[in-house]
Amino acid sequence: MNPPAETSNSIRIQTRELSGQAEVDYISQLERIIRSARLNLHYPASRALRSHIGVLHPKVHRGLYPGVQVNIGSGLPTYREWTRAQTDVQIAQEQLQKLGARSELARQARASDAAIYQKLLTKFDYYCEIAERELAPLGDMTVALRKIDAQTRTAYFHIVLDKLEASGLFVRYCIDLAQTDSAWNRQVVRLDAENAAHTEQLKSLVYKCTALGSESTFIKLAALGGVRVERVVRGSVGPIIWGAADAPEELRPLMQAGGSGAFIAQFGLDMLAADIAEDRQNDPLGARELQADARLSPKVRAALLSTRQKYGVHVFGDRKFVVPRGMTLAMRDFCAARGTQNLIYSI
Amino acid sequence: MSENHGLVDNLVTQFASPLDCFRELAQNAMDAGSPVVEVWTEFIPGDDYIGTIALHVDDWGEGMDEQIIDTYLTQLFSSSKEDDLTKIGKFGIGFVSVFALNPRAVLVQTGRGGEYWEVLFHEDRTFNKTRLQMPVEGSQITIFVAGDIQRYAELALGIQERLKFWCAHSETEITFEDRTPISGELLDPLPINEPFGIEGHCVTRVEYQGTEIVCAYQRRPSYGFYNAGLTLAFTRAGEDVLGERAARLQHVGFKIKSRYLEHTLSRDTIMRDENYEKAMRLLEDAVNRNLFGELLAELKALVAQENWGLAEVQNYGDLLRFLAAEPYELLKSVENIPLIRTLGGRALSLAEIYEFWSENGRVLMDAEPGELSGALQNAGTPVVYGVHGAMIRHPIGAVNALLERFVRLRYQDTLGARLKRFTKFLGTSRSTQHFLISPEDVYLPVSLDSQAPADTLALIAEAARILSKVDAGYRRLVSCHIVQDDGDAQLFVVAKKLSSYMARPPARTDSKGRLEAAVNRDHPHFIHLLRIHQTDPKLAAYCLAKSLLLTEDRLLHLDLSMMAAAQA
Repeated sequence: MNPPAETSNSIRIQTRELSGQAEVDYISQLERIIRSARLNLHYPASRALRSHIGVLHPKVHRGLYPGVQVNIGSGLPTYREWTRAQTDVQIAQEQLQKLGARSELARQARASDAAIYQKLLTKFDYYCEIAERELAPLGDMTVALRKIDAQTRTAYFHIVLDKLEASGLFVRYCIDLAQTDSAWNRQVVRLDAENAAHTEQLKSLVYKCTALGSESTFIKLAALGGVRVERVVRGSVGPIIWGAADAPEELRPLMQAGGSGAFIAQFGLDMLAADIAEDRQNDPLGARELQADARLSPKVRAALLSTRQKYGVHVFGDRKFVVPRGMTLAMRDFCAARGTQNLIYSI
Repeated sequence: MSENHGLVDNLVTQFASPLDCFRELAQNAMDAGSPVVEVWTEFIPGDDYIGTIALHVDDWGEGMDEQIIDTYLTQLFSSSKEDDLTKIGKFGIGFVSVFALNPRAVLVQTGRGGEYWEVLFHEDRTFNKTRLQMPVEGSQITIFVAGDIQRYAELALGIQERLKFWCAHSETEITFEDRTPISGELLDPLPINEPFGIEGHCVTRVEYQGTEIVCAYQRRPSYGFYNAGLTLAFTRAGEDVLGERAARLQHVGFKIKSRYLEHTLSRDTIMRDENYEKAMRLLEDAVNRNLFGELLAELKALVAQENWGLAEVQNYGDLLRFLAAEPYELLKSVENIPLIRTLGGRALSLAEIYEFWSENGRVLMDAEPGELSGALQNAGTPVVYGVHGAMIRHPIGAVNALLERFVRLRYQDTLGARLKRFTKFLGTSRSTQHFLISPEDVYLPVSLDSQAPADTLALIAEAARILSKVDAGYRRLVSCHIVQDDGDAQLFVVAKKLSSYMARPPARTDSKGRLEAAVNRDHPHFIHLLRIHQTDPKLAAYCLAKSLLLTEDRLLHLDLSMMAAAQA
């Protein structure tokens, strides 16, 4: 990727503006990376993400926008860019109706030197191309009924929450829980015949918890009466490191050795479930042991250990990578040195 | 598993084709959460013409750890997916279906939760399990079969066809790639998926939670059942999959993708259980409300269109054909909506047609506008656009079927008809057949007498007085000359209003409207009555009045009243 065109500091996140060929290369590379990552249903939907990113491509917007703003921390476009694409897709049909027939716009553009007519024609082509495009949800929760056990009056649900976090990463939470029907319990999932819908209480709780991670989500949900949490999985897209200067300390040597085209795309997976045999950490960048996790206070650490024992759950952490072909071996060695075996795809 | 050899043999031979195992493997991959399933084949040459055919199915779903391998993969019938509406695989026999191909070996490489394993199944179905050091994403299955390049080509083609049949509407992206094409030309992976759609009239898509339906009116309907997009059944044999609903859906094709649908153990049809009934109720709702609503919307828009070409006529005929086959309750619910085109370009409702039949015992219909139909419509008598008799196979032949059926059922629905059926001695029900008549068969061009001879006037006036006295329902009675004598001399003609075209009196028993009548003064019977009038005017007048009622076959019980009126 080319060196940044300019760097700016906002209050919360650091961003970079890319334009011209740098913009083209960035968006194209991002699409390829996400395709190559082989994201399954534990991650945000790959096809929707690629489609959404595609709206940002210069060959799609045809120069209507000056460039793309990148969140340096996540390596993904900023929230502003995601919502810009989302808005444009949502208004595309309406705009096409207002613009009228393409043939008339083309005639006007040919007949006049005024730039406005060419711009209208460009807008028409842009909206045509993006109308009905699939978009990655920036914040969406769905509930599906898995099964009902009439004997125990228990219903089992599968909840999926997709969101663009404040950190700039796209994450998906998959939560399997069971809810027992009881007069004493407040329902977190409404079941109408076999159509499930989450309550507002559950939605706001899940949104709050997921900001803290999968383990905290598990603890908070498990504390609700009448609810048994079977599994919480968090899959994340990003961060993607595009330059050695942006890399965390442990990855900087790798990036420097990778040269000008180096990047490291990361796709993390955190899983907390009763059917995991034992605690296992396969994430070379995650904490090795709960006890050794310096980010946690002793009180929190103890609470987490206690919860795990109480519910008989174990955690599994993993991370897979997409890197340029020339960095594959180095990445593998990095993981091996940290005692992990990770999937590394190269493009 | 070797102890269950016989059981496995019985199980796998139940499938229609050994290649149906690829459906099972695709199903497992989808249930494991893989958004993509890559199916690819390659031929590895051997020393002679027989080589090794390698058939691959790769996914990047959740994969399997040792516990899953030991509990489910290597044990018959075990399944963790029982009763889970978000999973389509049941019974736990998905994987075992690969043995239908008589493979030399089957290799499974899989990873989950940081564990990576390889399981090699031998020809005798024993297996070895080995832990892998290199990570594996999801599950990668390779089936090794012995064969030559021809056999390889057959298998590659067969797999592609079976995948297309079973997985065309899969919600998971499925691709197929032949990496050793017999032509030598390497092609890009072929997408197996197709849009979930259907051909036909009034194509309608309806979604409920966990169920998606697309339906349309079709002349030769097909019925598709899917779960998560995998085909459970696809057939034109309605009885097989619809049971008692087959008659209702004989002109409606559909595809239904639902979490409620499952296949039987042998995969050859859908399981008809409580969940099937739930899915079918959703289908019925979609057909009776959404699809029917679309049909109405299209018809309304079409009949409102001013100018019609051949395409509009064809479309009209097709839509009416489907409407004619809909249940009576639905027809009744829309009886007041104008859907039937007249020659004048207006639209009538079924209720209006019924009303007209009820009053007149007939409904006029013609295929082309003319002077007569134009005059009739100007006088307020509608002429339905349609065809008769031998032209029933014409695009708009369906008009007859629809109107005859609706009138018949609507009449049967009336209290009077029900009573008549119940108490047969009160008389037979009205005939609801053959009431669609060409105007030329009913109407005659007449020339009304502006100044009839005195004796004619006297006779007619006296007959009119008798008819009025018994309240026979005629506003006026005049004389006329029938312009076009077709040989079947008509004594009377009637109409709502006297005009240059008047109708042969219909035979009706439920007269509600008041008509105006004209007597043909050239008719032999009228001439005879004129002679009688000279000697017995009261008798002649009575006979003339009676003749009119006899012609219309009504009020025949008023004889005594008419005689009294004549003598008054």
